[in-house]
Amino acid sequence: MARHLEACDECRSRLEAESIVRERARSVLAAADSPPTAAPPFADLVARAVSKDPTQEDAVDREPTDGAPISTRRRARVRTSRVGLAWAASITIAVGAGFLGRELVLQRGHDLPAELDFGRESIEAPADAIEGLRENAPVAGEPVPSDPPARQKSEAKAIVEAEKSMAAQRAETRKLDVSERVDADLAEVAAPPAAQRAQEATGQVEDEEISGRTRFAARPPLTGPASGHPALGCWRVEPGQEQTGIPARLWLTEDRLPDNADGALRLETDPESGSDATGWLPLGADSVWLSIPPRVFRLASGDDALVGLAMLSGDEAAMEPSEVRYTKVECGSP
Amino acid sequence: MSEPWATIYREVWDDLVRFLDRKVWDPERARDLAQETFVRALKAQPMPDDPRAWLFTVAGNLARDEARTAIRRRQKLKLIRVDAEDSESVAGVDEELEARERRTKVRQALESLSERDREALLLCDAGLSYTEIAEATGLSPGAVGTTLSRARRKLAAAYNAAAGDEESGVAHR
Repeated sequence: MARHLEACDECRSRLEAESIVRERARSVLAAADSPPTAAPPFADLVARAVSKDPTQEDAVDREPTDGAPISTRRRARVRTSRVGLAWAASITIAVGAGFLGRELVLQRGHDLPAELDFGRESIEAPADAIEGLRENAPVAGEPVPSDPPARQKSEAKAIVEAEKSMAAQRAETRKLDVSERVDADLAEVAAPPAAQRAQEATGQVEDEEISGRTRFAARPPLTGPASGHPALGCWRVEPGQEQTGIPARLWLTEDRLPDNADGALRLETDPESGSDATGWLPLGADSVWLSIPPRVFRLASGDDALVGLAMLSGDEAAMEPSEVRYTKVECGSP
Repeated sequence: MSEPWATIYREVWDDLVRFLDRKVWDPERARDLAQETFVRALKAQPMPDDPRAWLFTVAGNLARDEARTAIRRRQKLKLIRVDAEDSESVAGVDEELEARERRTKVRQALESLSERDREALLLCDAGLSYTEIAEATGLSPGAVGTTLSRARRKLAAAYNAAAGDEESGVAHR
């Protein structure tokens, strides 16, 4: 080979070029060299090899403090299992705390403070459930049963039964459709019972509250100029300001009916005559009644505008909802 | 059993640490992995036919495992390292920065190579013969020379390109 290189200029030049590249690569790699460090005693490695657990031979890692190799994979497994156990422990603690809290509430016989007893005052327990509780309650002077857990259990059972019964009652109440109730109210208004007619004649009419919704109650006929509660003022009903596309307030959206196609609200101020009027609405002590058949609405005090939808076109196909705003003015103002 | 390894340990330690350092780019980790490699060698039964090739093969595998966790560890230690660097004395900072830049360029150049080329080049730089390189990499002995030649040219070109980019960047600034 040496003889060939001496004779062959091409191979010699290629060898020289290769040597240059080799030296260049070596210098490049040397540029990345770290300062040399002394090798640890070989005896230490032998000791480690002897003491090392054979199960830790997959991958190596080292804690920076003690220098002992620790299996990375094993540590990862331990960390993963710990995380899983932490979740499980959290859930267990939460469930346990909830269970204990419930037990405490049951043991104290529902003697929660009023501010924490949400909505309970409006619900009455069934008589049979209350009776069951009374039967289980200790009589004054009678020794307390020697088996408190059994007694608490029976009390808790009675309470649960009572709650179930009350929940069923609430569900039954919700089944009544709202519109059905309103229709029933209106039917009642259209044909008031004889007793109510008598009350209307004397002016002794009061509002009735049914399930949080105020039912229309007839009022005595208006006589004289518009008047209302001095603190509440009057409402001047002036339909006509059309603002197409503006959504109406929810409690008046139900009046999108052909009855209001002329843009005027039929104000039933006198259920006996059923007279329609566009004009003043008297305010009661806390509200004004507005009848837009077949619906009845109440305008409560505090509102500064009554906003409703009216169909201004007589053609049902061309009807467009338009907002009609009624403004509050002083009593007696034109 | 440890007698032959003791001799090899003295001969190979520096080369093995350098080889590992160019794989994990962390001198301390490279030392740890080199120790672990020898611990495994001491437990190897029977003694490998070519201990040097065996050592570098095991070291390469350990470095590959190490690379899987290196990114996570680097992220965690970044802040600690910055704090430590801040507390260093001003003297020697320039040299340290230059050395770090050089290492970064070499690392970029090495990473531009293929896995096989890089492995062959690093093993050759560690002092392994063509036969040992062939055994460690799985290449045929005849292909080692060609592979090394190609790897060296690529490395030089990549390093020159990185240096050129750096210089042009400085010139632009």
